[in-house]
Amino acid sequence: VSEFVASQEGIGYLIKLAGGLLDTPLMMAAIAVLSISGLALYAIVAGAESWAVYWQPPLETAGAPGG
Amino acid sequence: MRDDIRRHAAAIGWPVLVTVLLLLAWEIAVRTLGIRWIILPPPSAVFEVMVTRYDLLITHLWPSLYLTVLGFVLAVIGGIFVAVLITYSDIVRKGFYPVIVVSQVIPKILHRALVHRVVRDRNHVEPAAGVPDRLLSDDHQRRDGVCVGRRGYPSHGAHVHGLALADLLEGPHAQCTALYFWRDEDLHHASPSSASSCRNSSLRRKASVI
Repeated sequence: VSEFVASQEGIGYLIKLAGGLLDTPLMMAAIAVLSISGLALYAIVAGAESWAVYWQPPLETAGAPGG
Repeated sequence: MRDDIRRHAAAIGWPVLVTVLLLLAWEIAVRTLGIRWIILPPPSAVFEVMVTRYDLLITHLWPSLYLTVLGFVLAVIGGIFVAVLITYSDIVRKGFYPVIVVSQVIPKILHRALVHRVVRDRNHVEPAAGVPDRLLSDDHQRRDGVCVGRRGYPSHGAHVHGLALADLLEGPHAQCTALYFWRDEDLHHASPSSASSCRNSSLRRKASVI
């Protein structure tokens, strides 16, 4: 969260900056990139989980194939 | 084996299908309703920006990704540590559980205020790169009395007090401009050039009202 408001770099900063400049397409693009990276991270963690605790039945959640 | 493939296809297919449908609806809505791009750009425009300015996005993605992964690793390490303590120690469980519960119900957005206080002084603020030069010329500032800093914000410790829009939109790609205003008492923090361009007190008031 702190990264979102405090820094001079990062996607959160870019969203804020683009919003301030009224460059809505850039803002949306940054949000999209954030979403995609979020999905990717989720997939990685879900994959790691199913690998680490393989005895658990896969959860019924979207986003992660096999998660 | 066959079931497995089908399951995987469904796990990927449905989310993709729904996402595509939502994006299509968004695109059609923006175009048919004639929504200005500054309010809501269609997904195609967003995608175009993602392609044309990928270097900018990637540059800003790395620090975020790094912090996210670092935070996750620290949280996992700390979480396992706390979990072990809570599981094996009755005192820790009884003592810390209320604290943990309370920490979870405080909205995350409130952390923002705390963190912002701490770090604000360490950062100096970003230039408003989108303001065209002609709006920053001294003549223009004197005539209209708008305190538009060459740096966008007053340089240090001052609060941006308002935002005005100029040059708004004839077409989707028209130049958008944001003008920042700041309060009188903040001006002594500002750079000399921007302070001197706001000598007129009524205009300063106007700026602070906006």
